[in-house]
Amino acid sequence: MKKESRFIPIKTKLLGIILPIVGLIVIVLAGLSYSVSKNVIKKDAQKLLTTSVESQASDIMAWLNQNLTSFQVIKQSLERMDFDEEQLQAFLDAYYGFDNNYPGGIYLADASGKLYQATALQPVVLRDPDADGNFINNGTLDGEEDFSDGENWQFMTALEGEATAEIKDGEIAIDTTNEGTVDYSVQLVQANIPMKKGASYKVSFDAYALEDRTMIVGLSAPDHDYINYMDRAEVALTTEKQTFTYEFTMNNESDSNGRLEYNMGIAGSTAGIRIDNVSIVMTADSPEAEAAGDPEAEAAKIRQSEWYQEGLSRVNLGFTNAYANASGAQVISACGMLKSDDLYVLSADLSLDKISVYVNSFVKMDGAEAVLVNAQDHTVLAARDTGLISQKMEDLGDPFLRKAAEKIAADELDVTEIEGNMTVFEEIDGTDWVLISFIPTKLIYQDLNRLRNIMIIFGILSVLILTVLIERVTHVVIRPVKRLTQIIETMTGGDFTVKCDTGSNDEIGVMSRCVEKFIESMCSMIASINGVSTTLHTQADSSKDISDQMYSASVHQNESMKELNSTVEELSKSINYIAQSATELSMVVTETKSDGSVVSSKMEETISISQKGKADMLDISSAMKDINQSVQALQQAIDTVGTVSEEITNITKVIGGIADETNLLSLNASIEAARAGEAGRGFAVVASEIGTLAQTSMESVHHIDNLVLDIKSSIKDVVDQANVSVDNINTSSRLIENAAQTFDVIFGNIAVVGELMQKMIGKIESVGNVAETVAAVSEEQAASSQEILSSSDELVAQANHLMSNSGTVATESTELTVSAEELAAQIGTFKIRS
Amino acid sequence: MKKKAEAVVLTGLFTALLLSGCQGGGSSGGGVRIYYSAIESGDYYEGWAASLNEQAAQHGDTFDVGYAEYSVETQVAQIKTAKETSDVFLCGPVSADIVREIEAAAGDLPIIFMNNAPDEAQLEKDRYIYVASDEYMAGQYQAEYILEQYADKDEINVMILKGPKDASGAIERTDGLKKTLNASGKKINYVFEDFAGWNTDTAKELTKIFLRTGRPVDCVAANNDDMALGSVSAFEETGTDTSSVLFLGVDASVGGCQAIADGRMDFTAYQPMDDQMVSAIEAAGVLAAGGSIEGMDGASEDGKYILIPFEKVDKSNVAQYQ
Repeated sequence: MKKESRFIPIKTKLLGIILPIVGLIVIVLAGLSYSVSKNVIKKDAQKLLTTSVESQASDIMAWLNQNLTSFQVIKQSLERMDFDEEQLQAFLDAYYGFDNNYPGGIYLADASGKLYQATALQPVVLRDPDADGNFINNGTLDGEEDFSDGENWQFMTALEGEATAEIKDGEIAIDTTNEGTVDYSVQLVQANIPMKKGASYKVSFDAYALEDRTMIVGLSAPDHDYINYMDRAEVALTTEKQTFTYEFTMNNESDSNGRLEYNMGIAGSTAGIRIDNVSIVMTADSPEAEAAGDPEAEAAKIRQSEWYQEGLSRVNLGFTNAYANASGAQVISACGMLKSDDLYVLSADLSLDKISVYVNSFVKMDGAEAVLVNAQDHTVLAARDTGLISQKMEDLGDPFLRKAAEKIAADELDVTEIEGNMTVFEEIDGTDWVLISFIPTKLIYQDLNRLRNIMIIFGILSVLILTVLIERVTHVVIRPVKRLTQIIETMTGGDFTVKCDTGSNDEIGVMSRCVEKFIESMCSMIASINGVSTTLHTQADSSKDISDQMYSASVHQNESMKELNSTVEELSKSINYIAQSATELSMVVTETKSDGSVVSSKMEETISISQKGKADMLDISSAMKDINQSVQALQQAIDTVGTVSEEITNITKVIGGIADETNLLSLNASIEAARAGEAGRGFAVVASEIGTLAQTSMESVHHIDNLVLDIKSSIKDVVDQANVSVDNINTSSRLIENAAQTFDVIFGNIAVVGELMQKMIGKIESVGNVAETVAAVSEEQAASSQEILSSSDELVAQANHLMSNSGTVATESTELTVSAEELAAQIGTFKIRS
Repeated sequence: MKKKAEAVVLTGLFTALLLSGCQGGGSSGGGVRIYYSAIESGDYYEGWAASLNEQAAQHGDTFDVGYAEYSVETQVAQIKTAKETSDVFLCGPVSADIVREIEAAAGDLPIIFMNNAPDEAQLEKDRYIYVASDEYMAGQYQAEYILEQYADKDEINVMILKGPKDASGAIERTDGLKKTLNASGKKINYVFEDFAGWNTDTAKELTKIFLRTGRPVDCVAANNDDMALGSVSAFEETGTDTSSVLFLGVDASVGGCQAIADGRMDFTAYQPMDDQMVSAIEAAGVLAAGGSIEGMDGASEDGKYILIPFEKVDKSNVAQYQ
C-alpha cells in the first residue's frame, strides 16, 4: 500500500521551506511598511489638508470680518450723523474707490426702494446722435477742425512719429514724414462717443492712400484702461477710395467716453492717407432698454434685490449669498438695516474675486483645490472654475460636488473620500459657508506609489539576494551531509569499507564521527556474525544429520515396535493356544492312560506269536541247505556243454574259409568265359552257379556260428543265476539265524516294554495334572499378554509421535541449514575492512 | 438687589473659607484636591463656585477657586500656582483660544472645562474634557416646539435673536434650531437673524427695527430668555399683536418662567446647572484617579464631552421651574 516516495534532496526541501517563508516575510514586511506609510501619508495629507483648509477659512474669515468691521464702522458713523441727501451723497462718494475690496463703496436704499450710491455709479448719461443717427461730430469733415482743442477730432504724434493733418477738399489728409516706432505714433482720434451696453453699432468711413498701405482702426475706452469695445482692425488702403464698414456689439458697461482711433504709425510706409464720411450709428438698441428709466420699476428691482431682502433680516451687518449684482459682477454684499428712525438698508458689495484668491491660491497643499459653498442652499461661491460660481452644487453634474452637497446636507463634515478625492469640510464661522478642500488621493499616494515601487524592487532584490545567499549557505552546509549520504548509500549497499570525513566541528561532524563509529562497529559485528554464521551452518548440518539419523532410528524403532506389537499379539494368541492345547493334552493324557492298558495286554499276545515264529525259522534253514547242493551239481553239467560248443565253432570256421575261395574262383571263370565269347557262354552259366552255391554255403556257416554263440551265452547266464542263488541261499541262511536270535531279544524287550508301559501310565497321570496347571497359568498369561499388547499399542503411538517429531526436527534442521546458508550468503554480501 | 448682596456675602465667606483651606495645604482627607479657575468673579460664577464646592464636600474632596477676571495672564498664572497643590482642575477658560496654554500650564493634571467650550481638537479623551449643557439640544427643543405648534403650516417665518457672535452656546443653540427646522421639510423663512448679545435691550431695539420692515413673523426664537423677553417688549411697545407669534428662549430664567406663566412667552429650555456640577465633580474624581468618564451620564463616545441634557419648559410645566 505504501507508495515509494520520490527522492527530494534536503537542499530542495530547505530551499522549498525557507524561500517561501523569506518571500512571505519580505512581502509582509513590505506590505506592512507600505500600509503603515500609507496611513502615515494619509494622515499627514489629511492633517495638511485640514490645516490648509482651516488656514484658508481663517484667512477668509479674517478678511470678511475685517471688511465687515469696516462696514460696521461706516454704518455706525452713518447712524450717528443726521444727514441730508447732499451729505449722504458726499459720504457715499467718499467711499467710492476707497478700498479695492469694495471699489463701489457703500450704498443704501430706503423703504421705498430708492437707491443711494456714489455718483460714479449712477447710470451713465449717453448723449444722443445727430439727426442722421451719427455719434461722430464733424464726420463729413466739411467744417473747420482744431486738432488740438480736445474736442471732436484730434491728431497727435508720439514716439518719433512725425506727420501733419489738415482738412482739404472735405476730407482729412494725413501726411507722414516719420512713421515712428508704434502704430499709434501717428494717430487720429475722436473721443466722447457714447457706448451703450448691449447695443450694436456700425462704424463706417471712406479712405484711400497715396500709395497702398495699411492702418489700424479701433474703438477703445480711455477711462477703462483703453480696453477695446470694438476689436482693432487692419485697414488695407489703396489709391482707390473705398468705404470700410465694421460692426460690433457693446458688451461692457455703458460708457459715455468711447474713442474712435485711426492708428497710422509704423506700417512700413509713410504714404499719405485721406479719410472722409466717418460715422458710428447704433444699429440695434440694448434689449433691456425699455425697463431703463422707469423709477418705479427700478425701485421695485432694488426692493427685490438680494442685498435688500437680506438686509431687512438684520441690523448688524452680515453677508449675503453670492449673487450677480446690477452690473453683472459676482459679489457678496454686507448688508443690514440702519439703526435710524426711518428704514434704510445699507449694503456694500465685496467682489468674490478676492475670496476666489483665498479659495484658489491659498491652498497650502500641492494639487489640492478648494470650493467655497453656501451650506444652506449649496450655491458655489468661489471656485477655480469661475463657471461654477453662483450655481447650485447639485445642478453642475459634477459627481464630486453632488456628493459633497449630500454630505453637507447630512451635516457630515468629517474628512472623507469622495470620488477619489480626499475631502475636508470647514465651516466658516459667522457665515453659512463651507469651504471644501479636496485633493485627488492618487496625488497623495504618488509618493506612496514611488515608495511602493521601491519596496517592490527592494523586495524582489532582497528575495533574489536571499535566494542566492540561502542557496549557497545551504549548499555549503549540506555538502558534508551529501557526502555522508553517499557514504550511507554505499553502506546500504553493504560496503563498509568507506571512510568518513570527520573534520567538521558541527552537528554534521558529530554525525560523521558517529557514522564512522557505526561503520567500525558494523564491521566487527558483521565479522563476528560471519563466524557465528559459519558455526551455525556446520551446527545446522550436523543437527540435520543427527535428526535424519534420529528419524530413521525412530522409523526403525517404530517398525520394531509394530513388530513387537504383532509378536506380542501372536504371543498372546500362542499363549491362548497353549492354554487350549494344555487343556486338550490333559484330556488326551486321560485317553492315553486307558489306551496304555490295552497296549499292555496286546504286548503279551505278541510274545506268544513271536515264539511260534522262531520255530518256523529253524525249518526254513534246513530246506535251504538242500537247495544249495542241487545247484552245485547243475553247474558241473553246464561246464561239459560249454567244451563241446567250443569244438563246433572251430569246424564251422574251416568250412567258412573253403566257401570264400570257391566264390573267388567262380568270379575268375565268369571273366574268362566273357573273353571266349559265344563259345564260353555255356561255361559262364556254370561259373555263376558255382558262385551262388559258394555264397549259400558261407551264409549257412555264419548261421551255425551264431547259434553256437547263443548257446554259450545261455549256459553262462544259467551258471551266473546258479551262483546268485547259491549266494542268496547262503545269505538267507545267515539271516534266518540272525532273526532267530533277534526273536530272543524281542522277547526280552517286550517284557521290558510291558513294565515300562505300567510306569508310563503312572507318569501320564501326573502329566495330566501338570497340563491342567499349565492351562490355568496360560490363561493368566494370556490376560497379561493382553495388557502387554495395549501397552505396546501405546508404545507404537508414541513411537509414531516420536517419528513425526523427529521428522519435524529433521525438516526444521533442514530449514535451519537453509537459513544458515542464507545468513552466510547475506553476511557474505557485506564488505568489511580487512 | 437683596439677592445679589447675599451672594456677595456668601462668596466672600466661601473665599475666606477656601483661602484658609489653601493655607492648610489642601492636604485634608483622602479626597481629591480640586481647583476651579472661573472666568470672572461676580454672582454668576461665584454661584457656580459655591455649588461646586458643595458637591466637592459631599465627595470628601477639597475645593479651591480662582477668578481670572477675563485675563488670560491671570488665569494661566493661577493654574500654574495651583498645580502644586491640586489633583485636578475645573476651568472656565476666559477664551477658547487659550485652552492650549491652560493645558500646558496645568502640566500633567487633567482639566475639566466648563462655562466656555474649547475647540474639539484641544480636548483629549479622559484628560481634557468639557462638561456643559447640550446647547444644541436647547435649539433643537425650540425647533421641535415651533414645529409642533405649526404642524399644519407649510411655511414658517422665523426670527432669531442670537447671543454674541463668538459664544459657543449661542452658535450651538442656533445650529440646533436651524438644523432641526430645516430638516422638517417645511419652508422656513429666516425673516430676521441677528446678534443681540444675550441682552434684553439690544433684542428689543433689534426687534423694533425689524418690525418696521413689516415682514410677517410666526415665531421669535432667542438664544436665551432675556433676549426673548426683549423681543416681547418690542412687540408690546410697538403695539404689535403677539397672539400669533411664539416667543422662545433658553435657560428657564426667573423672568423667562414668569413670562411663560404670564403667557408672554411660550417656551424655554431649562439648563440643569446642578447636574453639570454634579457631573463635573464626579468627573474630577474619576480623572484625578486616572479613570475614564466612559459610562457616565451624558459622556460622549469619544470621551471628550459630558453633555447634560436640557429640559423643555412651557406653560404646562413651568410651575416646576419657578
